Amino acid sequence: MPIHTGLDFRTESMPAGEILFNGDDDARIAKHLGSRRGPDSTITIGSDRPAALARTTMTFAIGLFIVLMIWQVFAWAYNDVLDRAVLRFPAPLETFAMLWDFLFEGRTLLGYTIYDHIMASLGRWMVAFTLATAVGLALGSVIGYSTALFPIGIVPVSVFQMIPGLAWLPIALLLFGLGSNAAVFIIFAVSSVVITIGVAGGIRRVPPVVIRAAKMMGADDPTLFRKVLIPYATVDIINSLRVGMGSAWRVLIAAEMVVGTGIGLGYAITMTKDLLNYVGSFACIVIICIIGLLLDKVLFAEVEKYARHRLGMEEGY
Amino acid sequence: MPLIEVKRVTKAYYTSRRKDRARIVLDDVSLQFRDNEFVCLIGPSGCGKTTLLNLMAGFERPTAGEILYKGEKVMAPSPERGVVFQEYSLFPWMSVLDNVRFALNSKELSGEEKDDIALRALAMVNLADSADQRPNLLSGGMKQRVAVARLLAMDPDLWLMDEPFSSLDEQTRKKLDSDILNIWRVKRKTIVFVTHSVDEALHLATRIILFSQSPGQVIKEWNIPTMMSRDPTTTEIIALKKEITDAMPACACADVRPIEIRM
Repeated sequence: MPIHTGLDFRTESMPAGEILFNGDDDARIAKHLGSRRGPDSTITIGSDRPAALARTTMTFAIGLFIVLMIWQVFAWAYNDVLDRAVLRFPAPLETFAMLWDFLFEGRTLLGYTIYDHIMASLGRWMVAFTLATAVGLALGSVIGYSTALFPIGIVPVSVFQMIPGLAWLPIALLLFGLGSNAAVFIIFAVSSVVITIGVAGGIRRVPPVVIRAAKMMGADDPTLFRKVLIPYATVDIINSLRVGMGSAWRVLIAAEMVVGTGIGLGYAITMTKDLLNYVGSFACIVIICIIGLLLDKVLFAEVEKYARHRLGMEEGY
Repeated sequence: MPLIEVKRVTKAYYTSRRKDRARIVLDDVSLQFRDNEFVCLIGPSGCGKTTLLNLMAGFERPTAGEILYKGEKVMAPSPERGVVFQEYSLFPWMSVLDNVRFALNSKELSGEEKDDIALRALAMVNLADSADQRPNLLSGGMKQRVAVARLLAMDPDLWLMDEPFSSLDEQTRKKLDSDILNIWRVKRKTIVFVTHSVDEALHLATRIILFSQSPGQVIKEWNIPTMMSRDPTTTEIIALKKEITDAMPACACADVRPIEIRM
């Protein structure tokens, strides 16, 4: 089990690769076999953290390099081989140059600094995601806990889940008209459903023997829920929040592009596109990727790791 | 009055998702368990031993018949009837001590009293040193000892043990069997212990109840005097073992068709 530092790119569907033979681990331990003392079977090796950090940085850098390469080659092929002089495909360098101007030279975009756009998007995301979390946790708990309510409750949830993010647009416009609130509503609608399903599933996956043990020890329903079901389901719950967060972030950008919010990263992308400032659009896309990655791979991965540790549910150690 | 009485209990489960068939697992079983007995239920796998234990614990209800605990019908699980499960059933996020303390949740005690009782229970199973550890650091045998300590703290009158040590290695199992026997001798409670091992039953029980192949029925019972030596090399024990083994249903193979009810 490698030590995870910083960016954690595993997801539920891609668990730590047990299939891959890791000869590095054996080689590292083998160097220290001589330090074994007496009958004790433990060998002191020392921290793997600096090396692990270097490895993580290395793999991340290679992955990032591949993305930039594809981008560069594509831009070169489009601009120089196809040679369409009308509009240039923004290359990485000019995009990052403009990003630099936005971030550090105080260059404005549509009358706002890039930070204003970022804060506007993050603000909407925060409001919608907080509401979605509250609703998702409450609803998911009820549906997950009650065997009687689950078959009923799962029907509307599944129906809503099938509605693609932007298809909420007409409803959002009917309720809130054009503007920021409509975007918030769309994000809320999408992520609350994701969280509800995840939380309900997490609670329903608690092994029956654990529930029976608690009941045998005299736990009443509130105690069972609070002290057994919720702790047991915590990792699943955090994962559902993580997935909900990701879908909220993606649909936020889309929503801002269509409901005319006046400010925000998604709005900035449509507007720069309309103004034929494609480099500006690309700079915004880069920012969106970075924020999304930081939220998911750093913030939530750390929260999940911490929760697993607190709950004694580490996969390996 | 028996401590717990199983009266003409039948239990059947659906065998298909369409719910058009059911299989009888326990077939009209009547049993009585008295105070201070150590009863082993043995029989081929799938004969309903575990089902009977679940019914006595109150996790499930009989399809027909009833179970009376101290004269009252069993409707739900209760701390009066403690269970040691076959699977590990500790709470991974709690320390060993807190796992044992959980068993005292429903009792009106101060925090200190709970700590005291839990620590004494852990000491009885030789785990006082591991009180602050998490269950994921414990071996299988230690986990089951914590499960036993939970019951020691809870102090139920009836101990229901469902093949508690069957997943452990032979040496650990024997050690824990002896521990249970000692606990039983000190505490003078009633223990109903499910096992598929005749040897284990002969080592522990004051009464052995043999179940038939599915659908489970009681084939025969043997009383073993408390005074009798449990040394497996004595002629008495060897003879008894042969008698029980001979009475055991031949095999649990699929050629025995279960009784099915069509609906």
